Order: sequence, then structure tokens, then C-alpha cells
Amino acid sequence: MIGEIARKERMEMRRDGRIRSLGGVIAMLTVAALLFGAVQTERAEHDRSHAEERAETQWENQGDKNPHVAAHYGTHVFAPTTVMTAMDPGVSAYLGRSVRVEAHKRNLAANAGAEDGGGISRLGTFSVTRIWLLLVPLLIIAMGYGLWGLERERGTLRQVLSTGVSRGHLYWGKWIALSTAIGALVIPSAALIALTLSILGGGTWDTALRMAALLVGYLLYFGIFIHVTLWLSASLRESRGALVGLIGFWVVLCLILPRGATEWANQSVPLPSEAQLQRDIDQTLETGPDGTQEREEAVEEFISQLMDERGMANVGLMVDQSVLNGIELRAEALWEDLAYDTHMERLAEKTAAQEAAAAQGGWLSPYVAMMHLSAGLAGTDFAHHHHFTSRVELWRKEFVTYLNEAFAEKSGNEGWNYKADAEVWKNAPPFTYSAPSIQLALQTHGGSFGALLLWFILTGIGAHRAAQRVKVVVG
Amino acid sequence: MNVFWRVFALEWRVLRREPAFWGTLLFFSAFLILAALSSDRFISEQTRSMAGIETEESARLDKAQTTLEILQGSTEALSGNDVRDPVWMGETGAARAAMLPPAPLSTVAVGVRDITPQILRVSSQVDQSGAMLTESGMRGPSIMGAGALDPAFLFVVLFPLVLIALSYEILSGERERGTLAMLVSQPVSQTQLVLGKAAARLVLLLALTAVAALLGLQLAGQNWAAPGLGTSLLLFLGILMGWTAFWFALAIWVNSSSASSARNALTLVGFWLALVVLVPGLVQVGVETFAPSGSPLERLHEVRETVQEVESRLNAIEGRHDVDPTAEGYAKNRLATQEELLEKLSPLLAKHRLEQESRTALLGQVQYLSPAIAMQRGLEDIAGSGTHRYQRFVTQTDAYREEFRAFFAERIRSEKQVVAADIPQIPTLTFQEEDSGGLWGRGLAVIGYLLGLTALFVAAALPNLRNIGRLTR
Repeated sequence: MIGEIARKERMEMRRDGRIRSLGGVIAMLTVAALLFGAVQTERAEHDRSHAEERAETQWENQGDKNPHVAAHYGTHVFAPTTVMTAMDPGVSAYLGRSVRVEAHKRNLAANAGAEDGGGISRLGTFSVTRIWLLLVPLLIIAMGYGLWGLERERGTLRQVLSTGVSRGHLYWGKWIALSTAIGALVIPSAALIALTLSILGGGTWDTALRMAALLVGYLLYFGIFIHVTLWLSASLRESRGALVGLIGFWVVLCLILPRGATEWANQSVPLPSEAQLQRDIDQTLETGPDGTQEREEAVEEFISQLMDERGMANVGLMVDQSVLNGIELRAEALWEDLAYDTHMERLAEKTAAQEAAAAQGGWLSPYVAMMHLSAGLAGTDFAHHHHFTSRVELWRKEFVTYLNEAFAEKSGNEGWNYKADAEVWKNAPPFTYSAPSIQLALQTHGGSFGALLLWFILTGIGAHRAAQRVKVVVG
Repeated sequence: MNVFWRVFALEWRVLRREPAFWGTLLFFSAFLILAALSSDRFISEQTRSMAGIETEESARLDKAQTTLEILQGSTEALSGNDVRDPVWMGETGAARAAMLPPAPLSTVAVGVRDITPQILRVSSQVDQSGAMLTESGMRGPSIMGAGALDPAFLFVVLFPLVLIALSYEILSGERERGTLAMLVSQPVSQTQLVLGKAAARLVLLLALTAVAALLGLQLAGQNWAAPGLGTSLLLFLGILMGWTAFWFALAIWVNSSSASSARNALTLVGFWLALVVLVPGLVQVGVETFAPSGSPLERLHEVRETVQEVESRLNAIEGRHDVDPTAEGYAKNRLATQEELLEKLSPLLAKHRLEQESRTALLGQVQYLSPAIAMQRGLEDIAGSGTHRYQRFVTQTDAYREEFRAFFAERIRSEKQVVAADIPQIPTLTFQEEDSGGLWGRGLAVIGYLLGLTALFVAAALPNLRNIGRLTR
């Protein structure tokens, strides 16, 4: 019986030209957005790999110079691009794409895409995620607002129920009809996305797992709108009222609450200004993280520690000046790292807390929950960016230590006049980066997944109960 | 005209008793006030930062002047961070901030204020990366991506949906309730009947929205005596009127067919989706595809490769910890290297500026592909938070930076130390607003465009409106 009802509903949906057109438009937009995303991802990856090669060439061909002077010259590392950016660029346009690596200083990532756009990013992004998050719910509303109401207005609901069909069977029939119609749009699109991502080089288990998790997330998200549509269609007197109510619901969930959530996050977890951050770092460089140490004393302590480690505690003036220069630079770097790490990690924690506060909006709006979950699974969220920048910092320390040690070991009597050659630059430790597994996304966005599940269950219960109480006649 | 006013009065009586009308308006007005307050919080934060910087700069320079007065005639050798040292003063001691102050009606739109630095550091140092430390609070990527909850967002994105909710069944509702036949049987021109109904809703909605917007501005602490406010306010009301008229005209055109109210609602939401969501997204695709901005990573390397040799020399000066910065010749050597660096960088920076300008010009042209883009950019322009005013600021800051650098370079070259009398002479920047003609021109173009589209839709609906009696059959 349920199958018969679903077939009848699907036939009615197929007959409606508007729904066919809207579905067709969404399918075409999905394909167009995927192609655009693929082209942009390819371009970003080309830029990145080209930039990486040029940075390496510049570093190796910088000429002969003192290793510490070379550490001042520094180099750049570039944020990786994931193939899933083609589907969901997330917040990557607002995250720096390169990090300058140099002595004495830990830099923030720079060159975010949005900085250069002249405000174009504010026109709205064109991505598969945006289309699915915004438009598919509207398609569900257009297809389902009259599933109960129109039948009631035409008087067919009374006829059907008088044949002995239960309200429960009718509900599941309509549910299956709406779900399979959406599935007919989503499943082929998902297959196309998977194919495109594998062509772009994403044929890995991790990408497959991320895609699968994304699909589950989207099915929950669309399921929520299916439930709400059936709920309001059954509860409200007129189908016209159900349509206006559903559009109003969509506006609140998909347009108002996402901005409200980020506004709330900004108010509840404010971040310092860049200038304030620098002032705090400068202050810590002078007086230490607890404000009680003098820079020179602290550096002296580090020098003693480093000399102890090298078994040079009691050698006094017998130490070679070049070795002493190297140890001094190393001690200064340790002190500077302490100051930078204190403030940069605090900033990262605050930013993560701000992102988490914005994601809390997912308990009020499934759009917010899915948006955060999707960016996390695509690897285009802040958590993945922070994973990258913290690895860069670990490497920066290793890189600067290598150069300072090269200075200590090779300068001999030449001291600051010593100049190293390309051999030293070539042997510097390379930066290698492995992107985190799906586990990071699941840990960071577990709450968003929970919110979607809760919404799905609660709206499902609501829709089912509304079906049980649906009025048979208008009025 | 008498008939028009009678229809108007009748519609007003109907609307007065319509709880959905008042509910929708109150909901929107409450959000509008909230958005104005939220936008004001952002602007106030920037204004406070600017005031804080001004106080700090003034105290720092006063202190430097006092120290210089004490040291006048002293032959003591320069030490590190010495106020007499033109190198240290130019790079740090007397470094200034160039600030873009909020415009008179800044609360209306945050625009690009949150993605572009409004306070730029000016010193005699050459900044290759172009990165500047700003005093505006940083914002996490999700907040940047979502954009601000400002009145512009409500007007561009939500207001049309309110207009749709209040107009989608302007005729079809009468037909479905069975009252259309009664209306057309009255001795009233059918066109006047429809236009009167639409005008009543439009005027009421505009009046209430304008009151809510002004109330929001008032609550957000709007300075009503700010110079230039009159122009901005008039243009703001004009653009709002054009935008409202456009959506009502669209609703009339859709209603002039014989479709049901539900179908009209879906059609209008479809238009909203296309104009507010899809076309702007597609415009972004078009601009990124056919006029992509140069890769910032490419630029980074281009700069590095161009200045590699000079930069290495500068690193050798700054990176050697055994060099005494107060030694003879150090300052001149450093200045010469920095000037050489600047000379090499200048063409690249100019090229980048040109790219940005042509991109802004392109956006100015493509804004007419969707009234939503025109509306957004129009509001940003009025609020002084658009790309046009920002480019003006960057150009003025570039010129100021040059003037500032020259002031200290001249002292380094002539081996003069900084003296107390120099402090008041250090160049300052006061942002020069464009004359109101430019803003009027751009604002009127947007209003004209919106009213032109309104006229088109009304004209398209007129043949059907002259015979709405057929809809009753």
C-alpha cells in the first residue's frame, strides 16, 4: 500500500512542470558549480605547486651569505589545497595561503583569497555546497508543501481515507515519494562529484570516507526539510499558508540564523587586533609570559642550559667565539619562540573557540550545522588550517636551528663575516606536510553532526504526529 | 486621481486589520534595528581603535618632543631607540597611522570594511609584503565568510522576501476569495485599481521601513549633524524607494497572469533566488573566469625575485647582530638600500594597484546584471564602505607614505639629527572625501536603473491590468 501511495505521489510530482524545471535548474547549477569548483581547485593547486618550486629555487639560489642572515631572508611555505575544495571551498577564501618563515618571528598566514577580490566574494560564492544547502530545501518545499494540504483542498484526502488507508501509510507513502525524488537528484550528483574528485586526484580512502560522511550529513539535512515540509503541510489549514510558512522557516533557518550565529560568536569570543597581538608579543619578549622575567636574564639562562647540554658548562673563555655566537642565537630563538608560542597559540585557541561558538548555531539551524560539518569534511575549515600552520611552526624552529647551528659549526674564526654557500641551503630540512585524516573533522564537528541527527529525529516525530492528526476537510 | 485615493484608502483599511501584514513588518523592523545596532558595534569598535591610536600617537610625539627639548645641544652619542636618530624615529618613534574614518551613514553597510584594513601603518620602512598591522579586531574565518549582520544585508536579501510576502497575492488573493469580481464591478479603472492597491502597500511599507531604519540609526547613535549626511540620507531613501518599487512592479507583473497565489509566491521566490543568490554567484564565476585577479602567490615571488639582490644586502645590514646601528655610515647605507628596494618595488606595486582598480571598475559595470548587486554596492557607496572610497584611501595613503619617508630621508642624507622643532612638522594625513558630485552620480545611476526596471515590469503588466476582469472568469 505504501508503495502504491508513493508511486501516485511521484507521478503527480513528475506531472508538475515547475518542479521538473526547478529540479533541472538545480541539477544544471550543481554541474556548473562543480566544474567551476574543479577549475578553481586546479588553478589553486597549480599556483601552490608553482609557488613552492619558486620558493625552493629562490632559497637555493640566494647566493653566499651568513647562515643567520639567510634565516632573516627566510622562505615561504604554502597551504595545501584539497580536492574537496571543488565541492566546498568552506572558509578557505578567508584563510591565509602562505606563511613567511624567518628568524626571530612567527608570522600569521597571509594572502587570503578574499583580500584580493575587491569585495567580489561578498557577492556570494558559487559552489555545490551553497546550491545544495540553499536550493535543495526550496525544491523540497516546492514539491511537498501541498502533499497534505492540496489533497484536503481537492477533497481527495477524505476519499482516500474512506477506503480504509491509514494515515500512517499515507505519511510513509508521501515520505518515500519526496525522499526518492530528492534522491534522484542527489545520488547521481554525488556520483558525478565523486568521479570529478577522483579525476582531480582525490582517489584515496580518506577522500572516499569524507565523501561518504558528507553524503550521510546531506541526507540528514534534506531529511529534516522533508519532515518539516510534511509537518507544516499536514498542520496548516491551507496549502498556501503552508507554502508561506515553509518559505518563512527556510528564510529564518538558512538566511537569518547563520548570520545571527556568527554575530553572536563574534560578540562572545572577540579576537584581539593584529596590532594588539604584536604589542602583547613585544611585551612578553621584554618581560616573559608571566611578566616577571627580564629578556637578557632569560636569554642568559637559556645560554647556560644549552652549554650544559653540550658539556660546556665550565669551559669559560675557552669556548670558540663562533660556537658561542651559535649558542647565543639559539638561546634568543628559544626565548622568542616562547613569547610567540604563548600568544599565537592563545590566538589559535580563541579563533577555534569562536568557530565552535558559531557552530553552536547548528542546534538552532540545521543549515549552520551542515555548513560547518561540510567545511570540516572538505578540509576547508579553520581546524585544518590550524593543523597546517602549527606544523609549519614546528618546521620553522627546526629550519632556524639548522641555520644557527651551521653558523656555529662552520664560521670558525670568521664569525659574522662567514658566508655559507648553496650546499648549506640545499641541505636545510625540507618541509613535508601530511594533511590530517577524517578524524580531525569528526572530532571538531561531532556537535554539528549531533545537531543534525537531533533535528532529523525531532522533526520526523513532529511530521509523523501531524500526519496522525491531519484534518480531512478544510475549515 | 480621486479614484486612486479611494482605492488607496480602502486598501489601507484592509491592511489595518491584517495581522500577517503587521506581524511581518514588525518582525522585519525588529531585525532592522538589531542589524543597525550590530553594524554600529562594528563601526564603534573601529572608531574607538582610531581614537586610541590618535591618543597614543599624540602622547608618543609629545614625549619625544619633551625629550628632544631636554637633549637640545647635547653632544652625547646616539644610543639605541634614540629620539634624535632619524632612522629610528622614521621607522618606529614617529611612525603614524593612516586612518579611513567612518562616513556619515556608515551604519547602513559594513561593506568591505571587515576585509580591508581601515588603519594602515605609515613609517619610513619599506614593507614588501604589503601586510600592515591594524587595530581592528581580527575576525575568525566563519565570521568573515558569513559577512556582517548589517542593514544592507536585510535590505538586499530579506526585504524583497517581505515585499513578496505582502504582494504575492495582491490580485490572485482577491480572485481566490471571490472578491475580485465585486471589485471590478465598481466604476473604477482596472489599472487604477491594481496600481492603487500596490501603491497603498508600497507607501505604507516604505514609510514604516524608513521609520524603522531611522529609529535603528538613532539607537545606534547616528550623528545627525555630520557633514554630508543630507546627501547620503537622500540617496539612501531614494535607493530604498527604487528597490521597493522594483519588487512591487515585479509582483504586479506576476499577478497580472491568471496563476494561483501559491504559484505566484513560488514564481516570485524564484525571481528572488535568481536575482539575489544565483546571478551574483554567477557574476563571481564570470569575473573569476574572464578577469581573474593575479595570483597573490605569484606576486609574492615576483616581488621577491625582483628585489632579491637588494633584499639580501638589506638582510646583511639588519640580520647581522654584530653591526652597531649608531655607527657612522650605517643610517645612510640602510636608507640607500631601502630606497633602492622601493625603486624596484614601485613598478610591481603600481601594477598591482592598477589590477585592483580595473577589477573595481569591472565590478562597477557588472553590477547592473542584477538589481541586487546594484543595490548592495549602492548602499556600500552611501555608507562609505565600498571599494570606491577604499581605493581613494589607499591612493592617499601611498602619497602620504612617500611624503613621510621623504621627511626623514632628507635628515638622514644631510646627517641631521631630529630636533624638537621637527616634531610638529612631521607630515600627517587627513582623509580627503570626494566632492558630493561623485556620490550623487553613482547613487542616481543606481536609482535610475531600479526605477527603469520598475517601469519595464509595469509596462509589461499593463496590457493584462487593463483587463483584469478576465481573471474573474
